[in-house]
Amino acid sequence: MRTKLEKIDKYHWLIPKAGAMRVPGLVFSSIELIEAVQEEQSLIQLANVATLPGIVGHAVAMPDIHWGYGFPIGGVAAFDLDEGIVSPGGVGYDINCGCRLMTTRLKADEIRPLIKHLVSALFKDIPTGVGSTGTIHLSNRDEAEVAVQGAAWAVKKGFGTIEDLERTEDRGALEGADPSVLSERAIKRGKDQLGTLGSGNHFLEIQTVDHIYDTEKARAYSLFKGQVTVLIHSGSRGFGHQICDDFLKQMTKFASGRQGPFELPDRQLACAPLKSDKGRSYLAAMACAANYAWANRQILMHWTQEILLKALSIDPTELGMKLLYDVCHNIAKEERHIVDGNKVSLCVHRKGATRALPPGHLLLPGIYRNTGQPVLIPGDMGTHSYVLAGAEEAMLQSFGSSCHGAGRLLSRSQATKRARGRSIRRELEDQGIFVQSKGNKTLNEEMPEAYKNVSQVVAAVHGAGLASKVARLRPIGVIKG
Amino acid sequence: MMQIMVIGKSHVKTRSVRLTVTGDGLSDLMVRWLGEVLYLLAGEKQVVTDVVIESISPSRLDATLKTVPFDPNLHEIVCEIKAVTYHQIQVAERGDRWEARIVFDL
Repeated sequence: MRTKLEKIDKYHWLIPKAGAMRVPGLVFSSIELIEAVQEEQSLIQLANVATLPGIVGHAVAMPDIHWGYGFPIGGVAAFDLDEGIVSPGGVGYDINCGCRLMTTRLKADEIRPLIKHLVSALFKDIPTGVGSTGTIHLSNRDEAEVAVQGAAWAVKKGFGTIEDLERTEDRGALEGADPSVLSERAIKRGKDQLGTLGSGNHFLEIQTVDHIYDTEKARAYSLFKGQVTVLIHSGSRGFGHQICDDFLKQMTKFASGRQGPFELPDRQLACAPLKSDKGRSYLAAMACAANYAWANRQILMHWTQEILLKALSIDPTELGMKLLYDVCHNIAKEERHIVDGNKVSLCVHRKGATRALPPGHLLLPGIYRNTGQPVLIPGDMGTHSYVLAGAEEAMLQSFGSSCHGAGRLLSRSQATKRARGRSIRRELEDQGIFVQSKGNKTLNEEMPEAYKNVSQVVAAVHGAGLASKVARLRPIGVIKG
Repeated sequence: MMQIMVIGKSHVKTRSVRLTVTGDGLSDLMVRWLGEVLYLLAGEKQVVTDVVIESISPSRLDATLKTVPFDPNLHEIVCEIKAVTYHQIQVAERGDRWEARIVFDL
């Protein structure tokens, strides 16, 4: 079944309000991308999101939209604080799954001959893979501190510097985290997974800047052509999954808004009013997981720096590793936006979407106040990733949001079938990309063809004015779980 | 589900775990039941080797499971299931058999 979709212009499509939808759907896409989107159920999911109580403006979809559980991935929805709801399915299982990009002083030509050595060193010492556990084992007290302090906890323990916090969304800690609402199961699963990359689409990538689109902003972001950068993609691991699971199960019995019960179009959209005890508890638990994820990526960055220093036998000044920015993809949080000409507080759900603040926004640190927020868009491991800068149109059209990646095109099983009889590892190596992973299963599932063309996704975001292209990065070494 | 996730055998003595799961209908019961089995591996590091369903109704399930501790030297996780979802779930009786469609988050 296809959802009715009206083309507005080159980069905008509208799902008109119909049935129980309280607002229309707005899809950012392009002629190259929209056909594949219409073939799957993600637009129906977007229309379902538009039926939730208290939603304002539009239910928004980014160009990398694909079907998820309940909310589509690449979806953004904002809710009125009085009448609206919060939905664990609108955040996702991997709470604060996100990306962190580090710049270095190294040039790709210098390290290309050593890439196998570097990737092996990273793969050996960064815990990766299914259910991976690290060398950090948290006491209950430490875990509660991580849940409240986030990246600052890691910095306090020597993993990085205060400067890193300036370069992290929300300074690496959401307010309102309350460990007392966590289940024993969540606490147990969080004890030994801090400082681990995980499996699936999570990765650590050594890259080179292969194209600069905006010289001025690239300079402000300390990016130059031929430079080596490192991108980390990871989240809150089993801790976040357990929190999502716990609240989803509790909320399946709470299909009610402030105005009373309503028909839930999809059980995975289970939600609770923002002003209810259940809604508040979920936000407090979700903040714990978000903060855990920021601490996780902070630690992974620190270890990456240590491993590269040792493997290259250079000093920190020569490596010059600095955090460019850390963004989250899966989150719900209170933000100020203009709706119908009025500035209001809303609970913005981003599931597979990236915050993209424009130049001058008060939440930006001084270093990025004039450029706009760095927006990090990882591609698949065979093509490119992008650095963009948040732009004013994002505040006007998408609640300050941009896309989060290429977006899946093939399911994991479809990708596995497509990879039969091929060596994805060898194919990537032939392109100058050295990959190390635990077995071939993840590699096959994450093959480049499994993803949309990230350049088309980024072109649609740039064309719609949500964020502007600054630089393109090409992978040269990848570790995966 | 456990057969999708784990291969390998352990020779240590099994442990018995009794589980009672309640749900709001068969679909909810199925998600909660599989969620419990998944938690045994993800949270308790126990591999389920056998299950006996002792009683079942649309709102309650009682079972005894046999488990062994996950041992990385003996077991391999070949597919990580991260969550059991309600996405398009179907649990229905067709003729003389039951069929279920469950989507796992990987």
